[in-house]
Amino acid sequence: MIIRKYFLLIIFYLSGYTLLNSQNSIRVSGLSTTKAYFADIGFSKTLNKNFEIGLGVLYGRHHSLNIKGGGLTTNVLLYPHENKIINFFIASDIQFTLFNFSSDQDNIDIKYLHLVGGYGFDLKLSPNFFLFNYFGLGATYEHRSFNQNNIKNRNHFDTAGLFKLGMKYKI
Amino acid sequence: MEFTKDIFLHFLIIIFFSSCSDLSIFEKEKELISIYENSFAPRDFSIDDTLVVMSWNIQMGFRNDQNAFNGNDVGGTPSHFDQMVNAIKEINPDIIALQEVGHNADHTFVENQAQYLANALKMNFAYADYSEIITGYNILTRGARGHALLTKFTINETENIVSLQQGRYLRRSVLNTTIKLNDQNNLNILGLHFASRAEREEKINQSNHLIQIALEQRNPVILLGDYNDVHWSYVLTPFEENGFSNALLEESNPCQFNVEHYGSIGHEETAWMGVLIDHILFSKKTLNSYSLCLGDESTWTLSNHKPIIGKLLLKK
Repeated sequence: MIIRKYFLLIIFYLSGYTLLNSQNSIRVSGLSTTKAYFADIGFSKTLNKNFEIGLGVLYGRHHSLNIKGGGLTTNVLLYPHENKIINFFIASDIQFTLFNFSSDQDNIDIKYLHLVGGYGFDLKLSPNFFLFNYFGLGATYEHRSFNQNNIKNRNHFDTAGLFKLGMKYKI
Repeated sequence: MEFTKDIFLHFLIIIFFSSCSDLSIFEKEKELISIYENSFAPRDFSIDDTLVVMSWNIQMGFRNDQNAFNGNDVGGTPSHFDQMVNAIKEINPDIIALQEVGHNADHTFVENQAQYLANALKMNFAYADYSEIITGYNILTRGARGHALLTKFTINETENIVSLQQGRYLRRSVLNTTIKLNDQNNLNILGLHFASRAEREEKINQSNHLIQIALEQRNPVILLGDYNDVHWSYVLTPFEENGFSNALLEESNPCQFNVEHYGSIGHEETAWMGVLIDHILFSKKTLNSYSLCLGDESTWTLSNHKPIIGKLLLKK
């Protein structure tokens, strides 16, 4: 509940800020990590011609467990070259996601923190409209917590992959 | 020129990404693990004591109306394993061989299932991987399934021997566990699981390999597992020809199964339409069997296999 409240506050703040600034974009993408896939709606802010930062909310399904979950993603893109039709960038991406399974006796939370670095491109379809895609590799931290006393919470560190494909519209 | 370089770099990164070991779409082989843990004091044993042995394919903690590998069902929850623990406590076996036990599997909530059951039942345990997990078409599901052996006695040694090499998802192995009953008597338990989708030749080879392993043991041998075949099949008959007896066929068996029973004792999802495919075999020279029964109805919903329970005596 607390996480949801903060999500809403951040999104509200960011959306207001974004709409006041013409250098920003709205993006819609789909992304798949080694643990789950998500729909991602978010905003990006162009800091200068080389840097762009973004924030988005995620909603999706775990790859292996048939449960839905959501979270927050933030990324930084570095464009090393001038604007062209295709612009390649270096990306770093952080995602926090939470999945929950509840039944009569079980209440299990699975939290993931993904940190990945990657490489991708923007394809300019019109002056304001872009297709973008990137791949990333990095690390993931998994935390499983159980309501039962006879099973300990589990923590895992693992390698992580990310694939993201989406559209971006410059406001 | 710079643009061509960028495209080249992009494709280079895609190739690097897809060949990275954890994300690779290419076939990879994981080392099979085998562990054991003696956390509890052994029970006393004398040569006249009955050994209650049990074999159960637990389908990674998914109920009989679920499928552990379709990627749609949710299972392997702590409460499911607690129900299993209660059912096993009622049976009170000395030795339990479990098949399809999950280990660090993404698609189950209890990750080290053998350890969870052993701790709840206060039994020592051994675990050995035999194949990796795939759910639906998701190649990113991580984890393994394997054999577990739970016992009230001390485990001296374990060995995980590959018996069928058929790719990482259908590979099979034998968990050979040496158990110390008392200072004079040891016992070897072979936990096994035949691949249902293997070819006839592969199954025959697997049978012959298992017989060879069983014959090499110096101690009395019990072979517990999911044979995925009926007692009169080409998988099981070679065991009888080599000095091993199927508890199902012992005349002294008070729960004697017959053809009429077969319609109700198996599980409906096997190719055998409800016949008994889990068996308890033992070396005739060193052991006697006097009972073979199924677990009661409360256990039937807990997996797509029913537990099979045998009572054996060591020959003096």
